[in-house]
Amino acid sequence: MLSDSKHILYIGLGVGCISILYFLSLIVGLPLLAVVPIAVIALVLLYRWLNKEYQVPVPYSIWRVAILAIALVLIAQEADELVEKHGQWDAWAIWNLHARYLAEPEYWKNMFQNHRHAHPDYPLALPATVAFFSRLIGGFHLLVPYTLHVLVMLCIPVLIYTEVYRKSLLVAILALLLFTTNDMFIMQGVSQMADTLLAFFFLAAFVCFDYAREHRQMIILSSAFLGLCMWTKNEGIMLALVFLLFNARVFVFEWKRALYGFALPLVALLIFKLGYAPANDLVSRQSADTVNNIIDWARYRQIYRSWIDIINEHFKALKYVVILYLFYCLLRRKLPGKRIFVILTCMAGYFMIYILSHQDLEWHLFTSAHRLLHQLMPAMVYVFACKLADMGSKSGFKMVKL
Amino acid sequence: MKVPVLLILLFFVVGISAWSYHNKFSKTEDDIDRLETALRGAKDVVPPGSAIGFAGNVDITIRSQCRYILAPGIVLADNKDTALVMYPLQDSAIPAGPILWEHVDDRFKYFIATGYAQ
Repeated sequence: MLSDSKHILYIGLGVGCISILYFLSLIVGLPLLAVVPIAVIALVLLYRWLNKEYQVPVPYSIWRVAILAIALVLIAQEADELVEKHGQWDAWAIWNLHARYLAEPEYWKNMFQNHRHAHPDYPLALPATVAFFSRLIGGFHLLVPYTLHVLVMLCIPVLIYTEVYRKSLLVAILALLLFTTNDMFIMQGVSQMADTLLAFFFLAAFVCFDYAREHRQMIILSSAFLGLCMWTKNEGIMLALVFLLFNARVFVFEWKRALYGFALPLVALLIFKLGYAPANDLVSRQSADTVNNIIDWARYRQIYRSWIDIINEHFKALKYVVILYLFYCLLRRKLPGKRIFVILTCMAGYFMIYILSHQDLEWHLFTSAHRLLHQLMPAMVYVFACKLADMGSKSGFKMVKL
Repeated sequence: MKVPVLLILLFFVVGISAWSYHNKFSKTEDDIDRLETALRGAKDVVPPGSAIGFAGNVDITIRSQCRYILAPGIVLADNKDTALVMYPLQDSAIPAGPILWEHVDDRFKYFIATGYAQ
């Protein structure tokens, strides 16, 4: 793996590591003065472990940096236009609310008294990280979640770019273009909600797993990112399970390495879910109506219509890439790759969540369908960028070299 | 690409973006900020660590914003004797029980009142 990518992955691991350590420190009542050195030592050890091997030196190119710089500036400029001071509804009603509680060791358990509309069952990767940095600067400040979200949002195109440009600079540039021109990605990126962090972790799991064949140690990283998906949002549990299911043979065969990666996020999640969080409303409120929902075909039509509208409005370019690729597969009489099936199965899982939802379906779709697709979009772009780059190199098509 | 270049570039853009966000919003007030200003007095009346109810005639967004502003010290819970009561300015209603604190701004009337346990 390239050292550039490793540094971006390290940012993700750092966020996960800090959030878990901070949450555990709240439980045992450690003061911040003790948490900070523990976090610093953990981050240093993580950095050294991550950079121990597998570094492929890549020649320095001013053009590659310049292209990336332009893309990042364009995204940041658009983010500045689209950002709301307190973020979107869920940002202040859920994520920053939780961060405010977690930033106050005396009152953090008050969070679980908020039953209506505050979702105290949501995992804590994002709010615990915001709370940690808030405490470092003396209290909750909106600049902390905003800065964290911009960093995470920018890590996504940078990771895809650094992974793809060594195969094909042209495809890497096209992937960057997709992000710079996608207002939905940027708006969600600075919405101060956990969807972008989940999207980043899920993407990172894909990237690491692609190296697992050559370097088995990468299974630890891939597992860690899947664990962090679980520790970020409840949907992340489903994403991780789908990923595990499709790659079960590898994870079972390499169960020890997988366990190393999963252990810390999973322990934190289990402590949180079993010891503190109330039951998730989607699960606890299932009843006889669930069966009626499953056989109500109008719900399927409504969800399908809503998704198509969102895809046409926000992910049109990606839609055409997917259609073209499927057409290509049809012509070549081959199945799409396993990674594409993973993402499509995740989409099917999201679809079924809406079918089973006890909430008003129209409202539920309106408030969350675009965010669920946003969670999968970076992994989808990465998978297709890799496919296109590989197709280009196999067909002997020479890409632009700068 | 040399690693420090990538990281320097990334953190430089993040830094500029954060600075721009701060400049854009540090002197502007939105609905949540106005609500925060209005509820400042309530925090003096209700001791930290308390749970109070919520009543009145405002929508779920305002209720959630109040919860966000009063966190982490004060929790908005159900069935509490003391409650934060809010009415739109044009609404003539007032709390039935004893009033511990009240405030008016250009949108709402705010009260901390007792006698709300059911």
